[in-house]
Amino acid sequence: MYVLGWRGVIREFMRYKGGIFGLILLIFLVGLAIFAPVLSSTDVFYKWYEPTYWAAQNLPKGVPPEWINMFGDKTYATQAVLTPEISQPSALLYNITFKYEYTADIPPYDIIIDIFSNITEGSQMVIFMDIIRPDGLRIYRVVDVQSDQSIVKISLRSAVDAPKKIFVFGLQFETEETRREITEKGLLSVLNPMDVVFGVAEEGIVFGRSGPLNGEYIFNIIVYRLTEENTLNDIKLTIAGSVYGIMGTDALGRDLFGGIVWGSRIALIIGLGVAIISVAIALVYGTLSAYVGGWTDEALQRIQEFVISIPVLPLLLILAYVFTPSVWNLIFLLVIFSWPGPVKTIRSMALQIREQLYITSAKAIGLSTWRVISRYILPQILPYTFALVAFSVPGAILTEAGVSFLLGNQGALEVTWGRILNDAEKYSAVLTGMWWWVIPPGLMISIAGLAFVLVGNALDRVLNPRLLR
Amino acid sequence: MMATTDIKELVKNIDQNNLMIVRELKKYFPIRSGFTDFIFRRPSRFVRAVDNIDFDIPKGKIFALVGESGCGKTTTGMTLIRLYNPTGGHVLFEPKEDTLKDLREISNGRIMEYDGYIDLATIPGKWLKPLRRDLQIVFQDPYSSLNPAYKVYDILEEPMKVHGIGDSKDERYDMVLKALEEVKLVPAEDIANRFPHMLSGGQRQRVVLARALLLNPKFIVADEPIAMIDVSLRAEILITLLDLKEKHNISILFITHDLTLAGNISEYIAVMYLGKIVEMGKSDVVIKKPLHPYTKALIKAIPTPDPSMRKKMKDIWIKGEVSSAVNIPEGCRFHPRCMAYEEHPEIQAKCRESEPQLIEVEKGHYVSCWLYK
Repeated sequence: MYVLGWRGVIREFMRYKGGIFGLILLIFLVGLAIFAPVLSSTDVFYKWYEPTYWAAQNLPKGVPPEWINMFGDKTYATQAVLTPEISQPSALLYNITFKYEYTADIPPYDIIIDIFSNITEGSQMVIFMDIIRPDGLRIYRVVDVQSDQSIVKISLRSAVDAPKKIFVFGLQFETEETRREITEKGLLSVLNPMDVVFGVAEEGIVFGRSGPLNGEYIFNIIVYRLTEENTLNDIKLTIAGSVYGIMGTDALGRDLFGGIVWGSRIALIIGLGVAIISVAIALVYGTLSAYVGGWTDEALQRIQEFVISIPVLPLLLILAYVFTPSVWNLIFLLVIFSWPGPVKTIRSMALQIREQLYITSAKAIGLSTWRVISRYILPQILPYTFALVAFSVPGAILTEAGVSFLLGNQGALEVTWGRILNDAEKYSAVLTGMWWWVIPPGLMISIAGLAFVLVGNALDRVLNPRLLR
Repeated sequence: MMATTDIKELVKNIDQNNLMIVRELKKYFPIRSGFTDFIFRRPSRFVRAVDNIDFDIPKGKIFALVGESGCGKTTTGMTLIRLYNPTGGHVLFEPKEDTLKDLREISNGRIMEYDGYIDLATIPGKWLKPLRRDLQIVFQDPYSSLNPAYKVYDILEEPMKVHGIGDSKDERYDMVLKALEEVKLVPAEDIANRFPHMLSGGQRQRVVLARALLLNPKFIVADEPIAMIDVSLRAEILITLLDLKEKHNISILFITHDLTLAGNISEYIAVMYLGKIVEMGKSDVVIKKPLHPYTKALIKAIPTPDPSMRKKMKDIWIKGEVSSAVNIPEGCRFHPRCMAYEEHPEIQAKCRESEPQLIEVEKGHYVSCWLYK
């Protein structure tokens, strides 16, 4: 290091292809972490575990990413927010029309209406909606509700009577036999009303077998208010796509891309935080142990061996369960168990340096033990600690992911890759084929580990005095 | 030579011509015992690196310690200046006035003084700091005796910082340049801003010398200071060392394996074998009239650049190899290798059974061999 200088270190490092690849991965991860607020919203980070926030986002639940449209021959409907055309035929009546051009093969996940009004107490609004299909057929009164709430959200898929009305519309095209089969077996609860809304009106429409009916759909909403004080402030109709975003959504309707992006920040903070603190502790501990020697060394080494032999994961699970596994608690707990890792390496380096004559010279000059350690031994080991930090990061990230995967968030707010995997496991994402919920976080954990291992290996070659040629 | 364990006896008649009076100095290194040793309660074993040695170092003179590698000469040097804590014995030393004042202060007046001398061997470690100014060391290997992370200037400023020499950074900088010029490292400003790896071995050794001299010491242990330097540069370094010794009136313990070199530069020579001094005296006497079979062997082994001597080189004056300092032979520790042992059957029993003492055979010439009893 002192022979190479900073520029020399960089030049040497560039000779290792693996190191460069690791560095590229690392820059990618750091970029994600830094630009997380730009790539995704801050709310995603703070409100990941708030169901009300995600309900307000009108995202489809458990749908794959949009780019799968590029593969396969069927296209999926994408997310769309429609703009209303509002007219007021009479003083108490709003007539709102949304137009939607349906071109995909797989129908949208849901149709969601949001109505914002300043309804006064004791008053009510009556809301109706008809759907006029491209083939001219009309589904009457899909929505037919009275409300005294200022914010109304109606999801055609999960409302009480809307699916029923849609199925009634669909069943008229089915044969007598099919109708009986459906009612007998109670199949309506597993069928998708969206297949009916966006399907060709012929036999099999209820099962989504009749093929897509492309063209312009008109959603005609009538809002009737009882008094003039009740004004309609805003109305929004969201077509929740059957694909969403870069990484799809999970079963709770959360944008997985946001989770992955913010997860990179947490992973880096935990990984680097734990690695830097652990290596710093190990640096002082190992050097002290080697330099002071004798009984102190013996005692310190036995303590280190004791701590390193503790099985970390089960203990961490219990501790993280007792304390909230927030980022800072996790860093603290991980440091407790990971500082002994680099101690032996550092001690052996310090033992080597201790035997150098300039250390004896320093004693002959009358330097204090502390000054010899801090000014003569530590600076010699310091360059190599960069490699040690790089080597310690993957362990911390993996352990964090393991704990989070097994434990879930337990009241902690931050989203981490491990916790995304925990949710995926809870909702059996693997069994239901939601690969986009499992592969990205798993891949990111591997990439983060790989990046640091590759960089660490290259740094080791460059900085490890024993490997220097 | 009168040996005594009692410091009170020892200080009764201090010869004020000596800077250092060493009596019964011992340095044993314990051998780490394993678990089975502990279980079977085997006695702990020691490497007896320095085993009961006596000598005096006169003021302003060079005292050479000669011997094979592993005979304990470096350990002796390091123990004298308390880089090792001695296992036993006494080292009387006369510090400078200022040092003595600081010593009284640091020890709250509890320091034992004997006519301006103190016992280096028994002084507690925490009181040593002022003494470091008086006692310095120059090592054999100039490549590892300078901190590679420091520039030459920082290396030389370090001792001044530690001992509060020089009031300002500028003043210390001037002192560093002066010290560099004194050891003939010019241009001093250029050298001061270099890292050790940018210097040659000879230059490094000069830096080491400069560092030792900056504290204005009274005593320097020179541990084979030229052994690792290119032959062509050795003389220069040596001359610098000798000049500085004259100029600052420093006493030097010159440790070497080269008897010729010792004979050339030192006033006194002590020959060490396996932790003991076997012969000691004025240099010319020891070189010209060696008494101990080991000294004789060393002198005979000196190569002469004369082709006609080739035949003679084949004569053997010593046999075998140095025994381990853990299992020191009983009796005279040199007897398994001694040629005289075979030539003189009449003393063989003595050689095997009891250890000879260092006795004064003639004025100022000591030897430890049963041949001279």
